[in-house]
This record gives sequence, C-alpha cells and structure tokens, in this order.
Amino acid sequence: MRRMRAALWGLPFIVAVAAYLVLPGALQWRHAAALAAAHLNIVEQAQTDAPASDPALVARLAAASTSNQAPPIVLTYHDIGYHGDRYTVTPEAFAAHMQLIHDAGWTTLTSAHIRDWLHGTPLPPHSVMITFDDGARGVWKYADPILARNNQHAAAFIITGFVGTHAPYYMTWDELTRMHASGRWDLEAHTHLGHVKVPANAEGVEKPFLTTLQYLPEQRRVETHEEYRARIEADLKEGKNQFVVHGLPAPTLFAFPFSAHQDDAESTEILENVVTSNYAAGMLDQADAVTVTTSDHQQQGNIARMDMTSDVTPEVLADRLIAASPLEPAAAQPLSDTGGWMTSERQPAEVNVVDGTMILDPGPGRDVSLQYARYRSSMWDTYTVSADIGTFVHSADGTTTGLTVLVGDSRHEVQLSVSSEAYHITQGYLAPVVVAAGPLPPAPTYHAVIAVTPDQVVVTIDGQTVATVPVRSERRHTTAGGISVSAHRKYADSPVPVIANLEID
Amino acid sequence: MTLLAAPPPRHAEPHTPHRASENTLRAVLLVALIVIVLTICVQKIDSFDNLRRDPVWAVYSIVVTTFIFSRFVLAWLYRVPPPSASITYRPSVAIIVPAYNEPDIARTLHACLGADYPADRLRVVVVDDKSTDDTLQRINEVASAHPGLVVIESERNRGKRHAMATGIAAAGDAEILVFIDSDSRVRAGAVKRLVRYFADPTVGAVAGHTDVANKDVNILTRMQSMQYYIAFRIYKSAEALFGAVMCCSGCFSGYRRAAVEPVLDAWLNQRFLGQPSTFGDDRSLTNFLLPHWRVLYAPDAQAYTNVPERLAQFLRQQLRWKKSWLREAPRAARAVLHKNPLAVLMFGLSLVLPLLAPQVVLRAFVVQPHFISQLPYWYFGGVAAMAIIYGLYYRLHKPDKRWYLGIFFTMFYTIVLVLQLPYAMATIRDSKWGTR
Repeated sequence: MRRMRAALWGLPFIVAVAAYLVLPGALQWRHAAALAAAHLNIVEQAQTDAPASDPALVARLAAASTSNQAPPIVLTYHDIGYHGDRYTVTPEAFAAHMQLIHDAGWTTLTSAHIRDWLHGTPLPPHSVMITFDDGARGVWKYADPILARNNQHAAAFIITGFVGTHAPYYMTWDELTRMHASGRWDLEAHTHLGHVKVPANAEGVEKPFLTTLQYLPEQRRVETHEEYRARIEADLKEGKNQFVVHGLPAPTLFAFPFSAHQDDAESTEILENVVTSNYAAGMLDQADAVTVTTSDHQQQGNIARMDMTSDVTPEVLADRLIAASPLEPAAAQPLSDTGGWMTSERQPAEVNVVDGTMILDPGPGRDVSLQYARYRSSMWDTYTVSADIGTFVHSADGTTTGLTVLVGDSRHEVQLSVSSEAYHITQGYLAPVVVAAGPLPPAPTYHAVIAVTPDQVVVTIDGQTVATVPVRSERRHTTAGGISVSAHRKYADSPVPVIANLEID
Repeated sequence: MTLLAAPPPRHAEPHTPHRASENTLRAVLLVALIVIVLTICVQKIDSFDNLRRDPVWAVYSIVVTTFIFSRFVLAWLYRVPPPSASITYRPSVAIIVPAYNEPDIARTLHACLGADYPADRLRVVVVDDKSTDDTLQRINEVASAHPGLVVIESERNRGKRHAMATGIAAAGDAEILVFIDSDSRVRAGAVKRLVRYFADPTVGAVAGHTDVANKDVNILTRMQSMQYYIAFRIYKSAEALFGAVMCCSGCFSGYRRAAVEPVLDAWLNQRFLGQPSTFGDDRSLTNFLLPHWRVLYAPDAQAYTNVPERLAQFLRQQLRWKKSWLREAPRAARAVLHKNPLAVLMFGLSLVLPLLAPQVVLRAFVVQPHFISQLPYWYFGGVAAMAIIYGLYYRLHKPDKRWYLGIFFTMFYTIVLVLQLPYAMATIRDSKWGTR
C-alpha cells in the first residue's frame, strides 16, 4: 500500500520530466526541420576577376566566319578550381575564356538551341555552347558567378548518383536547384552511377561501364547483351528520374562518361538505341584538338565537343573557335585559301596553285586526296561545286582526277573520278558503290558541276547530267559534308592531274 | 607527540618534484593551453555567420563558451585578502565534526586537534550520530589522549543536519563555527587561514579549499581530483568575487555563529515537498546565509577528503548532489538576487545551461545527424576541448603524474551525467542516500 502511494506520488514527476525532455525536443526538431528547409546545402560562391582580354584576340574572334550550314561549337570543362590536374581549369583561366567569348560578341547556346538545331533551325552566328561534365563543386562555386557576370549560359552534365557525395567534391541538389532557378543553366545527364569502370574479364581488367560487357565473377562469364541492355537502360532511366524526383526538368542531352560510346558492333547499337530513345543527343569529347560534329556523328545521334584542359590559354581557345567556325559555301575560295586544305590523315597540306590551277601530283603510281576546310564545312548540305578537271592526253594514259562532295558523310559522300575519255561515280566511303560510269569524248579537261541538296547529288559533265544520286535521309544533319579533290598517276609518263576554276556556290 | 602517533594517512600526498624538465613541460602545456583557447576563439569568430543561419544555437554556442572562459577570468580576479589586515583577528573557534560509521575518524580528529590556532580560543566538537560500528569507541580513544575534545553522543540517529546542530549547541560561545566532514583532513594552518576571512564583519561564511586525498587510486579518483580542483579554484573563486559562493561544502567550511543562529531552526526543520531534507545540508545552509551575508572562498585554507573509488558509489553521490542542486535552485535564485547583477547572470547561466544539456545532446546525436548528416564531432570536440583546458589548467597548478587520464574520464563523465539530470528530477522526492 505504501509502495503504491509512493509510486503514485512519483508519477507526476515522471510526467513532468518527460515533458521537460520531449516538449523542447519537439520544438528543436521542428526548428531544425524548418532550418533544413530554409537553409540549403549550398556553399558560398567565390567571385573571380577576369583579366582584360587581348584586343587582337578579341578582334580575330569577332571576325570569325559564320554560316547557316553549321554544327554547334561545344566546349567541355570539368571542374573549375585549384586542384592542379589537367581536367581542372582555374577560375582565373575560366574567367579569361569567358571574358574573351563575351568581349568578341559571341553568344552562348542553350540546350533548347541544340534541340532546335537538331530539328533544322540554324544556330545563331558566333555562338558556342559551354558545358561542364560530372557536376563538380567548382561549377557552382566559381563558374556560375563568372557566367552570371557575363550574362552567359551553360549546361552541366550531372552524375546524379554522385550529387552531394564525396563532399566537398560534388555539387548538392540544393546548388543544382539554385542553378536551375537562375535560368542560366541547363542541367543534363551524365549517367546515374555509370561514371565508373567495370571488370571486363576474369583478370580484372576494368573498362567503362557503358561500353563493356561486364564480367560476372560468380558466374565466371561476361553478361549477355540482354543483361547489358538492362543494366545501362536502368542506369540511364534512373539518371533521368533523379532530376524529376528533385524537382528539376528531365534532361534532354546525355554526355558519355570518358566519351566512351563504342564497343563491339552489337553493344554499340544497343547503347546507341538506349541513348537516342532517351535523349535528343549524346555528347562526345575530344581533347587537345579542334573537332566539330559531322554527319557521321549525327548518324549515331551524337554531338562532338572540345575538351578544355588546364593548358588551354585564351590564344588556344580563340584558335580552336576560329578553326571550328563554319564557312558559308559561297564564301569559300578554295584555290586562294591554300591554307585550308588537309590531307586525309588530317595533316595540313601544301597545295600547289599556279595561275588559278591546282596541280595535284602524287607522283607515279601514287594517290593524293586533299580535303578543303574540313572542320568548317562538316554540315554543308546545300551547295554546288564546279571545276575543270584534267589533264588528260589519251585514253588509258593512267591519270585519274577526282572531285568528291559530302566528304565525311561515310554513307552518302559522292566521288566523281574522271580519267581520259571516262567517268566513274561512286557513293559511300567505307564500302563504295558505283552509281554511274560511262565514256567521255576525248578532251584535255572536262567541266564538272556537282550540285548538292539534302535530297540528291546531281553530277554534270560538260553540260550533260551524268548522275542523280539520292542522298535524302530521315533525319537532319545526317547528310552533310564538304569537298575534297583526289588524283592518281599510274605511270611515270602519266599527265599531271590538275583542277582549275574550282568554285563553290 | 600525538600527531606523530597517528597512523600514516592511507593516501599520502605526493611530494612535488621540481626538475628542470618540469619547467619545460609546463611551458609546453601553457603554450598548448593558449593554442586551444585561441583556436576556440578563432573558430567562434569564424562561425559568426551561423548567427544569421541559426541564431538560437549560435547564441547558445557563444554563451556556453563565454560562460566557461569568463569563470576563469572572474576566478583570476578574485584575490586572497592580504594577511596584514586580519593578522591579529583571533575570534573563538569551534571545529564541529559530525560522524557516522567513519573508519578514519581518529585521523580526522587528530588533524583538527593539531590545528595551528591559539588553544584557548579553539574547541573541537565531535558528534557521533549513533554509529552502528566502533566509531564512538575510536572517538573516545582520541578523547582519552585529548581531554579538550568535546564528544557528544546522539541518543538516536537523526542525520547529519541534526548532528551539526547538536555540535553548534555544544560549541559554547565560539564566534566562528568550522564544519569538517568526518572523512576530511585539514592542514595545520588551514583553520587559522579560514578564520582570517571573518575579519570582515560582512562575511557570513567561508568555504575552504578541498583537494582529493585518494586521487592516485584509479582513473575515477584522478578525474574527481581534477573536478574538485576546478570546482574550487575556478567556480568558487568566480562566485567569491561577488561574495556569493553558492555552496560552502561540508568537507571544510566556516560560518559566523551570528549568521547561523537566526536561521538554525528554519534550516533544521527544512522540508522538501513535505519530507524532511536529509541531504544537501551544506548548500541549504549557504542559501540561508546568502541574502544577508557575503560568502567567500579561502583558496589558501587547505583540506583533503576522500572521494568515491567505485563508479556506482560515485554515481550515487552525483545523483544526491544533483538532487540537492535542483531542490535548492529556487532558494538559491532568490538569494543571489541580493548580489551583483553579474553574479545573478552567472548564476542564471549556471542553472540554465545544465538544464539545456539534454537538448544539446539530442541535437548533437539525433537532430544534426538526421538533418545535415553531421556526426556529433562538434559536441565531442567541445567536450574534449573543455576537458583538456581543465586538465591543462590542473596540471599547470598541480604537478601530478598521469594527470591526463582525468581528461578522458571527464569527457565520459560529462556525457553520462547529462543523462543523470532527468533521472534526478524524476526521483527528486526520494531522499535516500544510497550510501552513507
């Protein structure tokens, strides 16, 4: 009885202590929840001063050529910061890049521009797309304020599974949300957890997640193509889903980790299908060189990008942008612009032009093939090229001189080869198909005109249409390319091949 | 003579070796102390931004740090009065020792009897609270050698408070009453030094300085030695600056009879929620005096006491102290209002901050991990920093081997005792001693 009374007496105290603990605890919990909602996981941004751009560089870049028949010029950065590795550009260097682009009057492209371009809308002149791969912190901390100051736009390709992890390396969802809200950014996909390498065989050789049939150690085999498809599709779909889950628009572009997009033929096709059915385009990377999107890239649904590494100075940047700036076909002057030629090995070519005639002498028993304005004509699909092709002496003199259109479009390119008293027209690069051939009246030169449209290529020799080759493809930008010339001398006494009056309209 | 005949102390005071390396070590420790304090200050300034982000907790963090540091500053400002002013002050003194089942009673009494004070003005009173063992017999053995020792035998066990009152009644006309716990031991000069503070007629009570006698037994007693040293040297000094020492501990404290007599009945018959108060006698008596008298601390009046050597015993003692702290808090609050506003502020903080502790623990271990995935390293860092500061301060003043062990235990103790406070609240009516 006494015990009962004592216990009853104790009860109010226990209740009071519980209240003392729980009530402020609940208040604190609510306070923390409110703070978590109001104060986001965002690091402070750092402002970076940009040095004044070199006026000579600005003038050169501002004078770069433009054309409606052009692919987007795309730059890829990774992290911005002071890590000191090759793929981290310092804030100062990045600020200098952006300042130069801004001062030269170039505009920055959005993902919407890219999507419109894929459907046929030409890009604005003097435009470049700024992209960042991985979603590293420096993009928010350093790059965003620099872009904001210049009123520039950019796209960040996010590895969604790494967001907010490896602190402080990757950006947080709060920072991404803030970036999206600024209107300055497109947030795009870079896999969910696929930016890794997977074992490719029993020896433990590791290869990129997306382009490798993964080795399954428990079963001592590599996965089947079906398992491969399921694995990559699950990752790409989850990557997309993560954006939606975090209140961001679904991404429309996809960047391949390590730029890896090709494996064996079957896997490559599977990957291509999975990417193109989920995204408007896949983004590739090329370090240390000028590169632009070709019709072959577009055939696979891809867009080429130029990696910006820590060694890229404003001079190098300007050189690459100018080298990638598109040329209007009518503005091309292939015979006076002798520096614009390149060998089939992509090396600068020395071109011998005498009195308006290009002399192509590969030497006896040899070939030569030169391409004009390779990076500046990759999206030409409407132009007419004409030339006087020679020089021929007699039938079977062993000289062949050629003119090719849609170069770089391995499915559609059309090559006209003229030899004494005969012509020969083939289509395709890797496995050429003869589409026309026939005799010609004897003459030292023939006047050839090749008219290219997205629908067909019409070849005319001395006023006679000798071939009409259909090139129409279901998608834009999958039929395109510039011109090249070629020559062959069979014998020591074969006449020297020449091309005169080479003009493009 | 008799002092020599006394059995050797169970826990001898270590002598303090003073080697050249000692100075080097002290210099290093001092630098370490300064570095830690500066680091904390820099960190606080660096996180001023939190004031905007999370003002409630940012203010708490700054207040806690300031509170801890400010006690050191206030303690440093408190100075022992120069002896010249009070050198001739020799009031009559009664040392009162309440005893209950105390094996060390003889040693305690010998120390009291050996006090360096004019014999005609000193009386030693021992009250046996009806011990169930041979305590009374050992008291009488001492008394046979010291006829001056006044021995009072209680007819029945009535608790420490009544034993103390009985002692007061037997103290005759002594102006100053010095209470010494039956397991405490005073240095020969301690009583004289303690009494000196009463030369100021506004002083009603003075707490002596008590160190841990059995500190070398284990890590628990080492930790308590550190705690005692800080509690007396820092906390009591800081309070004494305003004449507001909140607890004249039972181990060794002096009271002016004129201050105690008017409140004696109220103190004796004090009840808590209808039950007689059976512990926290020292804190309670101090609270009776505080509104009208200055209460000081005598860092130079040295006594030693034994502390619990087993964890369970230690926790029971801590629980008792926590309960008496809680029970006396409202009275202490009223009493301190008569003091300097800064003393009121410091008292308020010393009350509120421990009461907030469960919320701090909840925040560090549950809320922060949940909302910002932050493990409680700030909490552990803060507790560790405080333990290290106390440890370094302790070591700088007391050359003690293995002093650093106390630091680790202080961290453990800080966290465990936070959980004890709610338990003390829930069982506050329960007046059992647990041990005695």
